[in-house]
Amino acid sequence: MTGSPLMLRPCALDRLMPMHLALDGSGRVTSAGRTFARLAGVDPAGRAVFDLLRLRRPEGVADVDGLRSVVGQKLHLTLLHANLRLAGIAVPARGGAGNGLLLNLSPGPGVVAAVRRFSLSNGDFAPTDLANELLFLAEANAAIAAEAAALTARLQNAHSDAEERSFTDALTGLRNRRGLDQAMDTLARGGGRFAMLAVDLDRFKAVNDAMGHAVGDTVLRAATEAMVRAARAADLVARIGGDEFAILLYGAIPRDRLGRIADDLIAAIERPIPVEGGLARISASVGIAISDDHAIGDVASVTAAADAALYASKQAGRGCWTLMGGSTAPEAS
Amino acid sequence: MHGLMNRAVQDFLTVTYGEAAWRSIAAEAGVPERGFEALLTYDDALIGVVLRVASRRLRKRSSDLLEDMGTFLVSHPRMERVRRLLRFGGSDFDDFLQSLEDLPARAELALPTLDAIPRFVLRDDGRGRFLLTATYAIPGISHIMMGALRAIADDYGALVLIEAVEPAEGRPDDGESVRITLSLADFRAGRGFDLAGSGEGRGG
Repeated sequence: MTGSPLMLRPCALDRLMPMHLALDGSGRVTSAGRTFARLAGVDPAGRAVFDLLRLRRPEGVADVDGLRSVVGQKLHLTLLHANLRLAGIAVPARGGAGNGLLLNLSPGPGVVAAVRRFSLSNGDFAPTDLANELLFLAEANAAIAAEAAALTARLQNAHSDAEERSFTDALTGLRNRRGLDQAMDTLARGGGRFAMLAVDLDRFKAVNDAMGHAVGDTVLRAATEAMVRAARAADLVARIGGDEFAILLYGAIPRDRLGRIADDLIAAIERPIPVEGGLARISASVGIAISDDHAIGDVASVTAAADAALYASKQAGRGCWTLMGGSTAPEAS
Repeated sequence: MHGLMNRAVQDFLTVTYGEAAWRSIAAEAGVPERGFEALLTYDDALIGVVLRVASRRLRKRSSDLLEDMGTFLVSHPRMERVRRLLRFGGSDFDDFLQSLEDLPARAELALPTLDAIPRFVLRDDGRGRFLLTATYAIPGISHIMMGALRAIADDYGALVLIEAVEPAEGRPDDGESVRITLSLADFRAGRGFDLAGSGEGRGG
């Protein structure tokens, strides 16, 4: 060390280092910074330093001679009265008291919590202290994080809206083929029994060609309503082609109950539909397949069976249903 | 430019003139349908278009509109965060003015891509008279400054006189200036400022 000794009065030390402790040769506090006094909650003057602080690291240092042996090192301390962690450094300070030490302290990253806990203000820090900047950053960071979370939530909503639209048939509001595929994927992954009704509208093309697209749309909406009524709220009705629909009925449903559902559905679809220029009449062919009859998770085979059953219904003259089971003979209306 | 300022303009217009007024201004100016996002980036020119459309539709002089916006930015409860972040600059109004030159560095610490903060240069005659010059991507920043500085002086409880300074002829790149005369730094009690905050800022 070169240069002449620097003499500083306690008030100058306090301005530079409001968290300092000046110690005499026996380790008693001769002066303390105003902020330290505030955190300590007691007047530190005249007290032994180890009555105020505990040194956590380096370990095994519990008296002033020990403190003298770790000058210049980074110290990890606890302010006993407040149970507050501090970082510190000690340097020799030979003043009027002789063989003393100067200890400077900081709450380190705990400064934000300390400011809140002890209601510190700008004046409690030296202008060179970065505590103020740290508090500014903590606050700015919280604001940005909140903004980012809000933005993510908005984007997520927009995303699910778009996804919802992409799974929905615009005309009927039913699920489209993608929506059905998604539901089938979920079934394939999660298992669970279900029945599938493949529904084709009979004579729809003829009505559409003869009476126009607007009437066609009205007829489709009426058929949709009949299918939605036939299913329960938790079931899924999808429009998978121009006049092709599929209904997924979740759970184990007895065969005779499925037959009645199909009978009611065909009757509802056959009811004449009031349209511009008179009444439109259509019917429906239905193919039914049950997952119980297939290996668990083999969703594709249920679809294939429902298609085969639908084909059988059409062969049988339309306006009827067929239930296909792998292990039992087909049933029909 | 960073959407922070765009969003502030949107908030100002929505809060002051209503959702319907904002929607019609936004539609004419070509603002994205869902409005501005503070964390996204927009073309620099868009905010100028929004302000021009707003000025015409609301029949307000552009300078008045910008000054009102400056006031809104630092005094509206919804903008409490902005007020707090600005008040970190200093313990009194004088101190605050001195801190403005550091504002861009501070903002960049918080968000390195943030470019929506004006660059300030402060000249101080040592007798309570200041000349504050700002360079910014949006013309009219001096009017925003007038509104914001009056509001923040109020916040500190300082009595100040703030006047616009005509830009030097043909030297628009030198920024826009306002003259600030600080009569009394502690004219009356300002609003409190708790360094740690409540931990739950509002709006923003």
